[in-house]
Amino acid sequence: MNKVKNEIQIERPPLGKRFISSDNTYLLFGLIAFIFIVSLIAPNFATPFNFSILMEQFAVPGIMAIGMCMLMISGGIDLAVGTQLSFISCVMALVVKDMDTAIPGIAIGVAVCIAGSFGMGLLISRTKMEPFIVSLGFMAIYKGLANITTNGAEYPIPGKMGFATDIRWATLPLMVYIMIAVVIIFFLILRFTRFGRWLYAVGDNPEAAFLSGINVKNFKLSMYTINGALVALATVLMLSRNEVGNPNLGVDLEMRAIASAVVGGTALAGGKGNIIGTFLGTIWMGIISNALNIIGLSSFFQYVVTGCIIIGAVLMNQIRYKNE
Amino acid sequence: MNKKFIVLVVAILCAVMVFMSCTQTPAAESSAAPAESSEAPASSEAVASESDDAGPDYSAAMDKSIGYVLAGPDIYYEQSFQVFEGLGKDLNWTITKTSSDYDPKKETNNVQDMIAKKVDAIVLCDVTTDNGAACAKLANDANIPIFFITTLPDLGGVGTPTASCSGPWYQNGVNAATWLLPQAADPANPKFVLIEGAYGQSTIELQRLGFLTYLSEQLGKTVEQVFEDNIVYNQTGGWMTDGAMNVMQDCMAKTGGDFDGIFVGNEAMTNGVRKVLETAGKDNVYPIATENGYEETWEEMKANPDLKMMVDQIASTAEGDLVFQQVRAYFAGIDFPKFVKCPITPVTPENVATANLLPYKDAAAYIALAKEGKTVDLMTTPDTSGDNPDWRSMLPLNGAKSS
Repeated sequence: MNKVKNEIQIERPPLGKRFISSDNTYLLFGLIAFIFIVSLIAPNFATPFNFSILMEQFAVPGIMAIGMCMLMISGGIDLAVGTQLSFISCVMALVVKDMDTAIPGIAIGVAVCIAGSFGMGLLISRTKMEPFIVSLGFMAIYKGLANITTNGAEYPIPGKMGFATDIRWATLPLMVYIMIAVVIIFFLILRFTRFGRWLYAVGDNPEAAFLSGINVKNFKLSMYTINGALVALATVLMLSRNEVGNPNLGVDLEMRAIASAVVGGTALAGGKGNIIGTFLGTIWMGIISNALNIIGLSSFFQYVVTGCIIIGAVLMNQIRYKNE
Repeated sequence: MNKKFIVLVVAILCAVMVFMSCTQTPAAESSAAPAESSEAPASSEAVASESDDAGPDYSAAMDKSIGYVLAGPDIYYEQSFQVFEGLGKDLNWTITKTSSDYDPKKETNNVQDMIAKKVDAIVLCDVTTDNGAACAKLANDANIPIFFITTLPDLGGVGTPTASCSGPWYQNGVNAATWLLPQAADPANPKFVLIEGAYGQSTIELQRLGFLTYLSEQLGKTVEQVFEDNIVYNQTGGWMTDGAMNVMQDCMAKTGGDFDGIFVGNEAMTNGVRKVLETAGKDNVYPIATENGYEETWEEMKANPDLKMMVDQIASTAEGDLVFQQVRAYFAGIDFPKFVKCPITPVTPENVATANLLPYKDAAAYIALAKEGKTVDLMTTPDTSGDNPDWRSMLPLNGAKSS
């Protein structure tokens, strides 16, 4: 019995070799090189203060990128996360402002957010509609709802729920620790649980996953619901940071989430991706704007540079997977 | 092969970053600071000697680093910046420009980045008043002065602006109503259309408040009653020509063209409105009140005395000039009016030939005039900090007449 067990054990390469061959390693080394070079040009870049604000700036995009990464691994996508955040922030801010306390607003906003994502997941999992198209429709719906809620303006709630940035340990605000916790939790889930294995199976080959006993429809529904929960968390943190519910608060966040996942090695076709790579991709997407501002270059260059990074990362992944 | 390719791409990216930073003149100047600052004393002495004879000493305002945050891509903001940057060159200022793309979170990020960059001052054209107040708090906590431009800062908000120069938006609304009302078919019961800019910045809300307040005084009604009875359509065109075209088309469809005049938030939108009216065969039928002051509009007024248009000259170039003077005075330790408004001049075909017109699109021409002292003088501009009506009452009326 032991002999049989030993024979079927898969031999994993040594840790060092795995580290060298991992895509994440090159993302990490590239990031370190980038930080080093920018620090030479602009000494104010590599300071504890700048790193703390950087972490604060990509806490929300990071959480949304984690959700997007998992969705994309499962073969789905959600273009509505940005406008969804905008709408939910307006709802939360409206309730907080009316009731003069944060808890009911947060509870209602989270419930509405998850319900919305559940509804979209239901449509996608139960019909043959393309996730891209369905989420595009929801994107427009949320945008309209956000503007209807605020009549085109915004709901300021100063001093009502600033906990995400007011509470700090070692100069880092609470929202950064929450983001780190999300990254760790979902890294462990995807790496060590059956749920994680199902995620890759469903994304890689839904038919084979179904035949192996996975309820693919319910699994996809659960992915959209989980993503909705992460968007709700991101909204709470964003609203806590800015303390204003605004119809434009979530502008571009969906593209940033997708770009972060793609740069981190997540395949648009599904079946491939990882949390650490997505986290590094989030850092790449967020650090460019900050670096350009610190250097003194026009921020309009950031779009060019960001686009180059996305294309370069996808190209590298394509070449790598082609050779494999 | 793949690993080499990856390393090559990262290396190229880093090289591009280094190259771009080296070719950027302000960065190059700051990185070469030791050599250039050794030459600077000659110019600053020249400035000092001139100012000893001609006025205040601004030598303490030399060699400053300024972070300039625009609300979004708009010629209005850009022209202010160009004048600010052009005038700042004489004082060897290093100015970093960035844009928030009308995104409040990006605005917060930009202000944080400027604080991390340790600029000497921040100039902010805020996306929304409340987010601007929060950004002011960030700057206050970092002990960096923050100057607001174009939009009206929240003087009672969580953060304290150091100074501001905003547009006289309320007066613009009053002027528009003053000019439009006599041209109504029935001035006792006029009907007007409002094509408005971006909501939430306080700009359009103040314009509307001024417009409605004047009408309420003339018609003996409350502001709310005027809006209900005498405004047949209002919607945002987002300050953009194409946005205004869509809105004006909707307006024509909804109202059937039954109104007496149009108050448009800026000239870019006016261009869109006029295109729609021209297509509908209604060119120069409706009187249009607007603001900015494009040079080509003055030429058109001179060439066409029958043009039914009133343009309040609110030159953003003058705003940039006033904020530059505020920042300069701040660093020089000179007392100055903290909360001012840009000058406003109603211009029609009747007075265009004699009005004091300032360059708007031609920033270079404005800068040349400013250096000759022929534009605006901060020290003679009144402080209007206590003179701002409560515009938030207008928020529920945003787009209210477009459904």
